[in-house]
Amino acid sequence: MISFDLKLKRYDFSLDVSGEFDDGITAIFGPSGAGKSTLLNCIAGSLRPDAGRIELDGGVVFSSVDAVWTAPDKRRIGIVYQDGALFPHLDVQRNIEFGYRLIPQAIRRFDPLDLAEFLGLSALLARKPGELSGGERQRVAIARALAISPGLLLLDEPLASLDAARRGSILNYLRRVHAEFKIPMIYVSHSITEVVSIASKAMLLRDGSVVGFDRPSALLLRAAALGDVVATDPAAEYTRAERFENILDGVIGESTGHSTMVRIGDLEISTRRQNRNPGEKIVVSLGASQIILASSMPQNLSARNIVKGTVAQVWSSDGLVFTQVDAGPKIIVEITENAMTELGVTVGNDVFLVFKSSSVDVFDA
Amino acid sequence: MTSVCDQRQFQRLIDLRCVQIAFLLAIAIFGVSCGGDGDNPDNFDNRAPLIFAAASLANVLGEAASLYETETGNRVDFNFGGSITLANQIALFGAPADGVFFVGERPAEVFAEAGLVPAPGYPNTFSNSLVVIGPNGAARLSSLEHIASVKARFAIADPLLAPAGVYARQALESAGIWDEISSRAILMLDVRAAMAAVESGNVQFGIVYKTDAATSDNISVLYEIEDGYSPIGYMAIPLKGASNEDGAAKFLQYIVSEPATLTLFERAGFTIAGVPGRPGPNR
Amino acid sequence: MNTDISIVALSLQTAIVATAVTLPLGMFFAWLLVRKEFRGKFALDVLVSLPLALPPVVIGYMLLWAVGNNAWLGQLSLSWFGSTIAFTWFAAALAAAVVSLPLVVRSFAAALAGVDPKLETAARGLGAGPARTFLTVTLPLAYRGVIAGVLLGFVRALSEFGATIVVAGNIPGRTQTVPSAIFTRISTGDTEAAWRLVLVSVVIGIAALAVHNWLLRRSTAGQPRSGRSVGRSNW
Repeated sequence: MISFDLKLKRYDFSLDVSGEFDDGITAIFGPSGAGKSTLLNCIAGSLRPDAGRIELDGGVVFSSVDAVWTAPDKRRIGIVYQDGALFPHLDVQRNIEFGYRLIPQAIRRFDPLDLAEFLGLSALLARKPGELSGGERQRVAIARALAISPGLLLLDEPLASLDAARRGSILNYLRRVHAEFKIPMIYVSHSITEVVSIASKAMLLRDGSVVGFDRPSALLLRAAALGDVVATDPAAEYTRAERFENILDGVIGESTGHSTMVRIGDLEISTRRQNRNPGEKIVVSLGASQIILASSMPQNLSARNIVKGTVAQVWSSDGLVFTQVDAGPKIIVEITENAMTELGVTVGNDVFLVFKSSSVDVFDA
Repeated sequence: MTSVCDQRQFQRLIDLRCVQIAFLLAIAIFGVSCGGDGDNPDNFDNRAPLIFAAASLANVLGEAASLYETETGNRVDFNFGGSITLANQIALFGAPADGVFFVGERPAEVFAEAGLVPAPGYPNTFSNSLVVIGPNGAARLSSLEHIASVKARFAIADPLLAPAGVYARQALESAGIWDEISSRAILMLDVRAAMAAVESGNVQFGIVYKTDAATSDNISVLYEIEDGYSPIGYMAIPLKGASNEDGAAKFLQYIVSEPATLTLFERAGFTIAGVPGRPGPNR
Repeated sequence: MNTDISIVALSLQTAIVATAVTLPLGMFFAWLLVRKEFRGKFALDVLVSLPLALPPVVIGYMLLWAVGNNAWLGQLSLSWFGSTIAFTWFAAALAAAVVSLPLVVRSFAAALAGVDPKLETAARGLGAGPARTFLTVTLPLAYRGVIAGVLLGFVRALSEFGATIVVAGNIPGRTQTVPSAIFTRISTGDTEAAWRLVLVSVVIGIAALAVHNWLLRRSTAGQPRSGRSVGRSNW
């Protein structure tokens, strides 16, 4: 449980936020300059707010009223940075063990080598950060942060410097970390895709203030419900700006000819031929704008994938409409407002999702 | 892949070794030069007395100190330079001299102005005279005024820094040519530097002590200046309150009384036993 | 009596002491200038760099004024240690330290600036205190530049003349360093003896600079280049 209420003023920026996060994965998102990293740094202890209070797990780490201040090295918060911030002069094992060596025996929950194995790093222990790929570096960063048995994990745009192929895989690791070790996580990002995909709650910041705090999809929905105000609602700006990617877990199925089947829950979709073995766990990425919506079963199409589902939510923003369709996994589709009006589709209706197998990207899990 | 890693580790190992070696070397040098063979810069020891002396005494005092060491086993350290420069260092800035062996009147004045009372010593021990020198083989001068007609540059000690310069200027003023040729004067830090300037061939004339000229094979004496300047007097005095006042006193006493050293001075060209009638500095 | 070796030894000794003093002091100032923001930072920068802009004799005279026998510090030394500061080897070391400090600070600052402050923040977040972070993260990443700075400072200390001769004099066996000895030998026309020491100086200078440059070239390898290198560390 994390609660905070703080004010911070710098040259041309001021932060005034308060909130309470549970033990799940909470996202803080907003545009650059909104104050996300500033807030994160305040919680971490590398920045000192001008006024307010921060409580972590029942312990007060900052209080301007009572003059309490816990230094960053005493807060036991694991931090994963955007570029990993690994120590270049130490190998992977030493990096992971850096903080581990400094915590008292009694507090140690995790063994660095076990963490390395959990994150698939066992073969890389002797390598230096300069010899690792981006995804590998982030995994080391996660292991390093976990090694101090933190009471809280902070992630500052952890996927921002990775290419698309890696993001899904790391997101998966993070979900598994949370499920396995049950450590509360605060996830800072400007990407809606990531926020929707990983967080159970999201705090939307803009210009140093909180403008929303809810489930990610609800935040986006709220934008739709505001009607005319939609265009200026910050949540709406996001959906407009991002090319939304659906990120789903799947398993490789049979391969025939030029295509491979992928199983996502009860759904089977076709993708380009993969050089992978059946049963292999993978991550699938499908762009929201690459899916065609049909109100009735289409015929004679070249597209390999036609999926039936029910419309669960609809929200619109500046001429675009986003629909969340329940087809087993929940898939978000982006179409124009005009198209939506013509189709006459609303919540509860059955629809068909059409997309080519080439629109389905497969990544390592 | 592994060879790259090994290479990097190897490199770091070398760097580390280099740093360690350099560090040990530094300590070693420091230790050795501290322990040293007597050139001990440590301030707290019972060490050799430090005598500040006129540059013209360099050779003869060195020989005298050797005699002293042979006989008593005690070493003496010297700092040679222009007597006025050195006197100022002592009087104004507290240079740690234990005794002085200066020439001229100005150093005594400097001490008096600073309120320094020298211990009883030997205010008028030796005397000297001035000569004009030139490069080897140069023609002798018929008179001092000849320097003016040649229109060449000449080297003397800076009158502000060494009495040799004061005496030289007095001599030239007495000959009536100072105003004319002063612009051609090259002023050096002390009388030996003036002589070196002539030795190097960069200056045609120099005015130095007779005793200086005697030490060099690279110059010729062109003229002996008999008068026109104050009598040249040397004072050998320990400094009251200095850390090794006793050591200095013992050495200075040895020089002025021991026949062997007096002979050294005579052979070098100094005249002995002061100058009759000249009052010395305060006792 | 005053052999070449003893002069070189005295010079080396003075320079080593001067470097031993400027190393921690220089690192402290460099760290302040690179990592901290505070009022008066500009003044500190100017003050530390001042010896670079002043003629060495001026520095020597200012030191003389500060530690001479008639000054408070000189009197203090007299009563505590029974000896003066001016015209002793201590003054020679002091002069060498003062003139080499700006070079050391600048070199160290450049070395520290090459370390990403983010790494220091990360180390703190992992539980390392300020000292441990400096020793285990900052220094290992900056150490080549630090060594280069030490070398530069050492060479500068070794070659100091103007300040030394004013505040420490040119006393053979006590404060006569290599440069001072060369000057004396030139002045008295002992050219052969002067050349011997000149040779020693040149050799030391070339060796030190060669190592210095080699170190600097190697110090930028191995670190990932990131955007902000000079900046406040969020400590």
